[in-house]
Amino acid sequence: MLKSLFIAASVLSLIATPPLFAQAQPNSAAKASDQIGPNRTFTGQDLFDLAFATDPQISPDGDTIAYVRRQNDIMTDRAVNSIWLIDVESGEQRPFAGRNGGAFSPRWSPDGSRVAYVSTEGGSAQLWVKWLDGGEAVKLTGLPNSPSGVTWSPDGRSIAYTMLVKDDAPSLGSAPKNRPDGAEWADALEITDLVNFRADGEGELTPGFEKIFVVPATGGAPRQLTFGKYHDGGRLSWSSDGSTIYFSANRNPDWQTDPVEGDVWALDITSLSLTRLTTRDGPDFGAQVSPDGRRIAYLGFDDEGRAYENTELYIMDADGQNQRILTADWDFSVDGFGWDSDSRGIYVQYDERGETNIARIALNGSVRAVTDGVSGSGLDRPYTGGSFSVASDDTIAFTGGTATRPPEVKVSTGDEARYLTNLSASLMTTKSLGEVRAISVASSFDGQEVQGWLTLPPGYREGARVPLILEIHGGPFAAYGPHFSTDNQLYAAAGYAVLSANPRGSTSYGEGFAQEIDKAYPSQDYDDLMSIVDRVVELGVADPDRLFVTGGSGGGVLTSWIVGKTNRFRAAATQKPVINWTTQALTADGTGYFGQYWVGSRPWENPQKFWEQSPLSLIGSVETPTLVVVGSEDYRTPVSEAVQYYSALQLAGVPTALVRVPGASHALTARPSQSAAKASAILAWFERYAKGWEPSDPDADRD
Amino acid sequence: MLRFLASMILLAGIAVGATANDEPRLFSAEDVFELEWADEPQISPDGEQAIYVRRSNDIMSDRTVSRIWIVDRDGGGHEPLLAENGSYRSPRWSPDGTRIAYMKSLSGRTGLYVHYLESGRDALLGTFEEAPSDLIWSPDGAMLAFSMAVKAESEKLVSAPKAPEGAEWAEAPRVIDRARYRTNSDGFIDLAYDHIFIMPAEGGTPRQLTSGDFNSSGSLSFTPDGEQILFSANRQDGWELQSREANIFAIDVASGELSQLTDRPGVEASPQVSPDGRFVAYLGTSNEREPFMPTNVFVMERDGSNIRNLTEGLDRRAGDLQWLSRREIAYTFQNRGENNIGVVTTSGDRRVAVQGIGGTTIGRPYVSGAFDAGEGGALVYTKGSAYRPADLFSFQSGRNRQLTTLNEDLLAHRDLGDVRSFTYNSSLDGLEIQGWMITPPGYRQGETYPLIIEIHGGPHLAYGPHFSDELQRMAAAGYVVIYDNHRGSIGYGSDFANLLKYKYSSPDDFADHMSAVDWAIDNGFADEDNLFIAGGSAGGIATAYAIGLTNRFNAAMAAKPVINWVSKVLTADSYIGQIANQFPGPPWEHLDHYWERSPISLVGNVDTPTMLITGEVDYRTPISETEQFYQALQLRGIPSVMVRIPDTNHGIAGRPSLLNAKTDYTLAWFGKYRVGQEEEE
Repeated sequence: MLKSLFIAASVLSLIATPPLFAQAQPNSAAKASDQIGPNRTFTGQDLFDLAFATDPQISPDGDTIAYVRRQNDIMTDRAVNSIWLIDVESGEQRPFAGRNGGAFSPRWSPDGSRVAYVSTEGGSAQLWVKWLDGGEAVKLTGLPNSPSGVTWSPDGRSIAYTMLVKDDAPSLGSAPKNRPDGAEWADALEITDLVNFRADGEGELTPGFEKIFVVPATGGAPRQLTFGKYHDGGRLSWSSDGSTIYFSANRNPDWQTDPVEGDVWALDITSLSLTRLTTRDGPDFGAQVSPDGRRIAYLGFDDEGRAYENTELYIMDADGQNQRILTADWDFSVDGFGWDSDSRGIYVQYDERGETNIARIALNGSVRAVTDGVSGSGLDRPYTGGSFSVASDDTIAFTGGTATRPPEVKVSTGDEARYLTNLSASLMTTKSLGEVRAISVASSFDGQEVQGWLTLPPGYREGARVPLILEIHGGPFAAYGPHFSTDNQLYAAAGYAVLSANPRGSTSYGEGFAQEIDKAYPSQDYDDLMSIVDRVVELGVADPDRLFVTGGSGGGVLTSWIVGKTNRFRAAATQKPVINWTTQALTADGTGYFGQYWVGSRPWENPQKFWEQSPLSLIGSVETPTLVVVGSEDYRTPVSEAVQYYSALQLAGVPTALVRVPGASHALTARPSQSAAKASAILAWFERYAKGWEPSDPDADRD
Repeated sequence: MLRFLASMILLAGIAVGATANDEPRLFSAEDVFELEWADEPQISPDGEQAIYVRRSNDIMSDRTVSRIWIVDRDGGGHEPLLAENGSYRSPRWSPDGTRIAYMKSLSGRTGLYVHYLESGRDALLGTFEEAPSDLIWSPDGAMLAFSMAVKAESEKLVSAPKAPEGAEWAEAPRVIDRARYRTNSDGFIDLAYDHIFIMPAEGGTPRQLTSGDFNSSGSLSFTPDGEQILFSANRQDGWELQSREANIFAIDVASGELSQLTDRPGVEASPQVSPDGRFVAYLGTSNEREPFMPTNVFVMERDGSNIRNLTEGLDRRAGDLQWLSRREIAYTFQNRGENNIGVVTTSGDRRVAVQGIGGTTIGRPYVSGAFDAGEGGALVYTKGSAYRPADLFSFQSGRNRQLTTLNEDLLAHRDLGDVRSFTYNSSLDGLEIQGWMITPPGYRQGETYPLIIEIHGGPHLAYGPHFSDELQRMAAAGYVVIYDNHRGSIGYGSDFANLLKYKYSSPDDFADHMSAVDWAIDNGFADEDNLFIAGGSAGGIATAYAIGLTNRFNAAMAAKPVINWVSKVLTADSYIGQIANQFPGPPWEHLDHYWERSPISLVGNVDTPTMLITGEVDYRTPISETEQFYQALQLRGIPSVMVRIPDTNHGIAGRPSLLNAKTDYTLAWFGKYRVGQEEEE
C-alpha cells in the first residue's frame, strides 16, 4: 500500500471505501436543443455520463455477482455508488441497493443467502444486510463512524468490522469563565500532539483509533473487541471455527514514527487476548485463513529502507508457525489475493508491463496464468488496477476494460473471460475515441527498454504530425497501461497525441526497474521520458515543434524537473507537484515517510541531498511557460509546494498561472466538473503558448 | 520564628490577593473584555474639540468594537458622538467644522457617511463592496475624495460548461496569474487595483479619477485651490516585482490629467501640500537593498522642483506626516522604545514636540500611537503608559493635557507587575542593548522567579515601556518577564538595525537575548532552573532558532514562526520585498544562506519542549512553516504541540478570546515544565 502513497488517493479508496457519499439521482444528461445530431467528439460534458464497475463480489456458489456501479451524476457533480446483482449464467442484471443513498462494499454471507453492505441511506454510513430471497434490507447498526472491513463469521451469525473510536483531543489551559450566555466567541483553538495529525482526503484527523467490532448478523449491540492506542484495521479474517479473528496492525511503541511496519495478529474473540504472529521488520498485512482453516496467507515485505519493494505473498500455519514466502522467484508485486477453495493455491492480482492479470500460485510456488485484461483504477488516467473475487467453483469475477472501454464486470470460468456488463455502451457507440497504440524505446541512458502507450487523436491520419502531450504518471511507483483515461481522451479530442509512458521507477517491470530511482528521484527517469518522446517524433507522429508536458503528483515532480532540464517543450502543466523535498518531508501526511524512505535521511541531516532532488533547485533554468495546478485541500503534496513553484516562476519572469481546485484533495478529479475544467485549463494553457513566447521585458535578468 | 511566620502570611496575602475581597487584584483573562483605548484622534479646525475612535472589547461578539467620541480641549464634554451598532473608523472634520465624514461597517458592508453636528443627523453617501480608504475633504468642504479597490478582469483561461438548473456542482477552479496574489489579511485576492474617487459631500455619484493597472492609493492631499489631488504610486511597468519604488503624482480633479512630480529611485510617499499651497512635503526612502532604510521628511516646490531632505541625520523612520503651520511639518519617529512627535521647519530646524505617544496596541508592548495636527500648532495624540492603554491627550500652547481616563475603572483596581528599563551589553560584542523587565505583582526583592523572555516580531520593530496584556498576564502568573530591543530593532539608528543584515536569525541576535537572560539571573531576579522563551513572528523565528543553540530553556512557545526561509519566501505574501531586501538573492541561488538562517537547520539539536501557535490562514508566515517544525520535533520525539487557530491570519490575537487563549495556552505549556512549583489553588 505504501508504494502507492503518492498516486491519487481515489485509486486506493475506490476499491476499499469510496469517499464520496451522495444521494442517488436519475441520470439526466444535458442536451443542447440546437444540436442536430450526435456529437462524436468526447468532451468534458461527457464525463457526467460515465459509469464503471468496481468491487465485484461473486457468491460462494459462483452463480451471482454483486458489484458496485459508480455513476457520475450531473446534478450533484459526484460519482454515486449503487450495488447491482448479475446472474452469471444469463448475464441478467438487477439493482440491489443504493436507491436512497450510496451503497458499497457488498459481502456475501457464507451460505450465499444474504449480502452485507454499507449504505448511507438515511444519512450516515451504516452496516446493512439484505436477504436475497426477496427479504427486506435491514440496517444493523447505528454507528457514530463509518464501518470498514466488513467480514462475515464462518457460521453466518456475526459480522466483524472496523471503526474509528474517537479519543479526546489534548487540552491545555482553560477558557475564561466569564463567557455570557449567547456570546459569539471565536472558535476555540485546535491543538494536536499526534505525529500524523492529518491525512489527504480527510483533513485534520479526528483523534481516535481504528478498532475491531463484531455485531450479530440479525442485529443487536455491537461489541468492541480490541482496545488500546493503536490502529487495528485492514482486512479481517475469521478462523474456520469462528473463535479467532486475524488482522494486521502496528502495535509497536514507535508506531507513529515507523510508517513501514505492521504485523498479523490473532484475536481470541472470547478472551480478547491478542497473539502476534509475525515479527519481522516490515509490514505484514491482508491475512486470510485458508478454506480448510489450516493456513494463513498474507502479504508483506522486508523493510530495507527503500522507496519501493515488491509486495510478496507468504503463508504460515494458523498458529503462526512455518512462515514462508511463495513468490521469492516471481518478480511481481501482489496487489490482492483470494484462496482457491481447495486450499492448495491462491489467486493473486498483479501488474505486468502495464497490464493487470490474475494468476494462481500453488503452495509449492508454481504459478499458472488465469486471466488478463483486468482494469479499474479510476477513470481520469490510465493507471493499472482493478479488483476480483473467486467462488468455490473457481469462477472469477473481476473488473476489466480496455484502453477505450471503462471497467466493466467480467467473469472467467477457466476459458475465455467474458463481459457481463455494458455500462459504457452509449459512450462506445456515439463517441469516436482516440486509438491507443503500444510503443517502446531503448533508453538513451543505458538502453533499458521503456514502454509507453500513444493515444492518437480520433480520426488520426497515418503520417500526419500532430502536437504531442507527454502525460507522466504519479507514484512514481505505479504504472500506466492500456486502460481507459478521460484525460487522455479529452486531450486527444482536442487534436493532440498523448504519450503515457513507464520510465524507470514504474512498477510492473520487476523490482529492480522500480528501485532504479531509489534515493535518486528524479534521475534517469528523465532520460527515459525524453527517449520515448524522441521515439514518437521518429515514428512521424509528434511534431517536434509542438511538444507539451504535464503530469500529476510524481508526474508533477517530473514535469517540473523536465522544464528545469530542457526547453524543448512549448508549455507545461505541473499538477500537484513536490517542488522542495524538505518541505514535502515535513508538511505532507505520512510524517516520517518521504524523508527517510525516498531521500534517505531527515532534512536537517542532509539538506543538500534534499535540495538536489528538488525541482526548485532548477528554477533558474526554466524558460517553459508552466501552469501549476493543485487541490486546495491537498495534504499529500500540500498546496505550499505548488505555491513555492508558482512564486519562484513569477520571480524568474517565466509565464505561469496557479490553478487552485476548491475543496479538492490529492484526488484532484473526484468531481466531474472539476475534472473537466482541469483538462480544459491545461489545454487552454498549451494553446496559449503553442507558438512560443518572448519575455515582455527584454531587460529582465534571465539566465 | 514568629517573624518568619508573619512574613509568610504577608506574602500569602499579596500573592493570593483577593481571596478575602470581592474582586481579584490580579490581572486576568476575564479583564481583557474590559480594556479600552483611544485611537485615530482628530482635532477640530478651530482647535476647540477633538474626536477619536474609542475601542473596547465586546464580550458578546468577541470583537474589538470602535465608536466615535467627542471631547472638549479642556477634557470636558466627553460624550459619545457616533455609537450605534457597527464599527466606525476614519472620522474626518469638514474644513468648516460643521460636519464629520466617517466610515461605518455593519454586516460586512462599509458605508461612507456624513454627520451634521448641529442637527445630529447622519447622511449615508454610499455603501461599497470594497471598503474605501484614505478619506479627505476638499478644501471648500464640497467634495470628498478617497481610494477604493476596483476589480479587474483576469484573462480567462477557459469558459466552463453550464450546469443544469438546480445542479450542485463543485466550485470552479480558481486561476491566479499575478505576482501579487495574496495578502495576509485577505488571503487569495481577486485581481483589483486601487483607484482614487471623488464625490459630492452632499451625496451623489462617485467619480473615478485614476485608471490603469496600477494601485493609486495611500495618503491623499488636495491643493488649497481644490484643483488637484496629490498621491503616491508606482506606475512603472513591472511594478509588481518592485518593492521599494513609488513616485508622487498630481491628478487634476476636473480633467483627470495626471502629472508626475518626482522620479527619484526609491519611495516618495505621503505627499502633503502646505497650507499656502507653495510646498509639498513627503516621506522619502531610498531603494538600497538594505533590510532597514531610514525614512526622511522631504520638501519640494509645488511643481516638484527644489527637493530638500529636511531631516538629514535623523537616521530614523519618519512617518505620519502633517503640516503644523505654513512652515512647520509634524511627523512621528521612534527612539529607544518610544514614539515621538517631531516637528521640522521648511528650513530644516528640528525639535521634539511630544515624547512618548502610543498605547494603541494592547497585546504586546509594541511602540505605537497616533496624532493629529490642528491649525495654530495644536496637537491631539494617544498616549498610554507601561500600566495603561492609550488615553487621549492634547498639546496646546506648550502644555500637555490628558483628556480621557478610559481604564481607571479596571486597572486602578489591579496589581500590575512593575515595569522597569535596563541596559546591558551583549556577550557577542559588548553592544549596548535596551531591555525591560516586568516583575510579578507582589515581587519580593531577593527572591528569584521563573523567567520568560518574550521576543518581538519584525525583526525590524521595537518594544518599549508600554502596556501589554499578554506580558502582564504572564507576570500575574508569577513570572519575571523580560523583553529586549536586540540588534535589528528600530529606534536605535540604521547601523543598529542593519547589524542583522543577512543574519536573521543567527547566533548574533541569540547572544543579545541570552545576555538579557543572564542579566536577570546575575541581578538576582530569575531562577536559572526555570527559564522559558517565547515570541511571535520574527520572535517565533528567534525562539525556534534559540532552542537549536541552547538547552537552557525549560520550554518554548514559538508563535507563527518562519522555520525554513526557502519555503517562507516562496509562500508568503511578503515574498517580493523580502527576497530583494533581506537576502543576497533568490533561494535557488543561495540555498546555503537561506538554510543557515532557518531554524529547521538546527532542529537536530533541539531538546526543549515546544509549543507552536499559528493561525490557519496566515499568509505572512504560512502555517506550512509551523507544520515543518512540528513534524520535525515529532519525528525526533521532542515533546511538542501544535495549536492551530481556525480562520485566523497572522494577527492571531485579533479577537479578545484569542488574545486570552494565546496566553492561556502558553502559560499552561510552561506550567508543565516549571520545576519546583507549589501546587496552585
